[in-house]
Amino acid sequence: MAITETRPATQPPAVTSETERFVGLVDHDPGGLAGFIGTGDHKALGRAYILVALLFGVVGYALDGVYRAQQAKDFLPADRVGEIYSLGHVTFVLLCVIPLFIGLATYLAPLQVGSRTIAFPRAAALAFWGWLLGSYLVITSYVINGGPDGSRAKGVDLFYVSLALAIVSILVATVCVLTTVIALRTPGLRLTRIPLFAWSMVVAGSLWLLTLPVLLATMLLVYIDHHYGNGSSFSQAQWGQLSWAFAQPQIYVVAIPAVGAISDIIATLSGVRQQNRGVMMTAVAAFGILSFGAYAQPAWSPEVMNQALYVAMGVLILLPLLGLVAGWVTTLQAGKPLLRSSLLFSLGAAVTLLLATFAGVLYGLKQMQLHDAAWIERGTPPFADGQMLLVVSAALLAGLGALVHWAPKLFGRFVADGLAKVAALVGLAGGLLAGLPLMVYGFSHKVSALVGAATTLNAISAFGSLLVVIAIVLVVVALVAGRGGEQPTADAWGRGQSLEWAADSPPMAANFDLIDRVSSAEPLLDALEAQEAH
Amino acid sequence: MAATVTSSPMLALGRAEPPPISRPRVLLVGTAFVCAAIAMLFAGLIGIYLVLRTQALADVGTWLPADVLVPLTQPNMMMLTLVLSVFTIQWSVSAIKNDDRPNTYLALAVSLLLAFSFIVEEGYLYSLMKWNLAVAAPQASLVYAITGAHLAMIISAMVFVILMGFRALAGQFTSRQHDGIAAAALYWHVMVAVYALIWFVIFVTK
Repeated sequence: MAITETRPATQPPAVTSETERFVGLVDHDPGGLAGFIGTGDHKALGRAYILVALLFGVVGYALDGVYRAQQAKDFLPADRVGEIYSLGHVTFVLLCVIPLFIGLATYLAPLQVGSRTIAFPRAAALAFWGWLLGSYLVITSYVINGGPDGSRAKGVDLFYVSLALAIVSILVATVCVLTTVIALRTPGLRLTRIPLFAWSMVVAGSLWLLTLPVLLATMLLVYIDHHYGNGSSFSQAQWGQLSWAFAQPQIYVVAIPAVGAISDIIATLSGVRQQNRGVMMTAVAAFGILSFGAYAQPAWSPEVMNQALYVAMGVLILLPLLGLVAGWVTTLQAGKPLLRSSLLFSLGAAVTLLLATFAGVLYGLKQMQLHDAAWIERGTPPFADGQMLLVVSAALLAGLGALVHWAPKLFGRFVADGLAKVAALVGLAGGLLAGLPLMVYGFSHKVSALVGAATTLNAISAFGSLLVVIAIVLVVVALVAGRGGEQPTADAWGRGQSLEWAADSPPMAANFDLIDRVSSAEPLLDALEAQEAH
Repeated sequence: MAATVTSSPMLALGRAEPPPISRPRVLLVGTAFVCAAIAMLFAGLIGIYLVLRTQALADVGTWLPADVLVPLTQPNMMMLTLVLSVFTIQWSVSAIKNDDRPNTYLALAVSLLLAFSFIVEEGYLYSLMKWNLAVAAPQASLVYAITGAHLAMIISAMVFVILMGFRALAGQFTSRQHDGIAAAALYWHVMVAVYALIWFVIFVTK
């Protein structure tokens, strides 16, 4: 007891440099592969997330293309068709788009809020490796004929365990990002002053934390029933129990960071402050709240899609998005925007998301009969598939735009802008072609001429998916082609507003030297204006 | 003489400005987010339980199979055990706020002991219930998933408390900086709140 009566004297760790004090793990980086595996540096982790997520994006769209080609011309074994379909959806959402934004946020959020590191760097590193392992095992489970409703029992079990690992890892990474933005902001940077991308990550991360555990709950029930029980209850129609996470309104949660990224890109390239900033932040929050979809599970509540709440949310979510679009247009008009590839990506993402949300309004209306029993009996309604593809494509386009926009920070180089512009146009065309034909086919119960057009429409959708794959590859090529080009300065576009543009390109180990107390949402513009006034 | 005393490094340290409270309460904020996610996990599980129970009662007039046992005495004792632990874990927070380190360690240890008792009681409860997952579906899957997930949560809460206890032993927490203990206590309270919900939904209202 005597040992514990007084507080033990502790020797404070010797602080040899700012880097060691704030980053810890980075300073002891042995370099090479060992250094990468053991790193807690948010920049290395962010880059790794982004590159792997892009790889999974290629896989997801390739799978979707194969599935649509199969619908156009039957060439796959029957038991494989459903597996390709569900793997495509899981890949889009949990292996590609959400991790892409987590990667961007892991890299950018600490820079945007003036922090020297991400909160819980070891947990962030563990989350990345857990997600990577989980994702790899999810795909492996399909290869051995598992997945939801798979024909091999061990493959089905592996799917649930590995997807749970991936989801838990995503949640841990989300907690790290959210805690960074909430608790590690530099003095003076109130929550109302943070960049809109960081704000959108707060909203999106909150929604992920509130909804993905519900998906996890369903998976736990299915796993226990499938592994220990006789498969008589939750093991039946497994994909039907999970599909809510990939449909309206839940699917919108993947697009929340997209609207934040678009806002930051447009404001920076326009060279003016974001117009109606408070309204924009409110609109992002409203968009997030209206995308909460954990309650809308047709497996337990078949009538949910006809209930007033579901319909109202589907309609109302268009309003904040229209508000955001108005804000983007106003900002573009107020400034002199640089027509860079990231702006093209952003505009393409905005158009695609607007179309998807408008489609969501139609989907919710019972009179349109787009999700009536006749469709449900035959599987997921094609209109819903088309809308999901539009939302995912919009989020991916915005993610690619963010990657191009912040490439000077991420990789210390500009991308080859001409090639990236081509990628933006190809990606926009691909996203629209992947989704719109399916939505058109969704009206085939009303327009009899469309019944015979199923083959053509599915073939067009498959072609659209192929174009998105090409767009992703083009962005990577543009990134590589930018090597050896002009070395970007800290404020790479010369119009930076928020704190990430005060850091070197790429940032040093501890991100910043010293940051003055922040007094507005655009501290760099403040400094520039003060300089010009003198 | 007075000048000599004033120049003493010890006294100078005593009059120095106290160090600022660590403003970014990083661990507490992170724990709050984790608690929100875990609360939603149980909301999802219990939501499905309630939906299926309501449907079963409406369709066939009964929820639990006739031959299964759902005792109430043991869950009542388990609930009581956790309610006691709420006070002991808060006692540890209060003690560290007063720089009362012996009581901090004692409170953490008693909390751990109560949690261990809960686990033993839960094991006994499982031995009484002996539900067959293959027969009593989906009720058995639901009950074991919900209570099993809570068991995992209480074990993680114990690990959290043990880690924070070691950090306290290493002198990392004081009356001005005790976020680790406070974060562990927050997680503990949420764990108990989740069990209160489970106790009411599964064992009291059956």
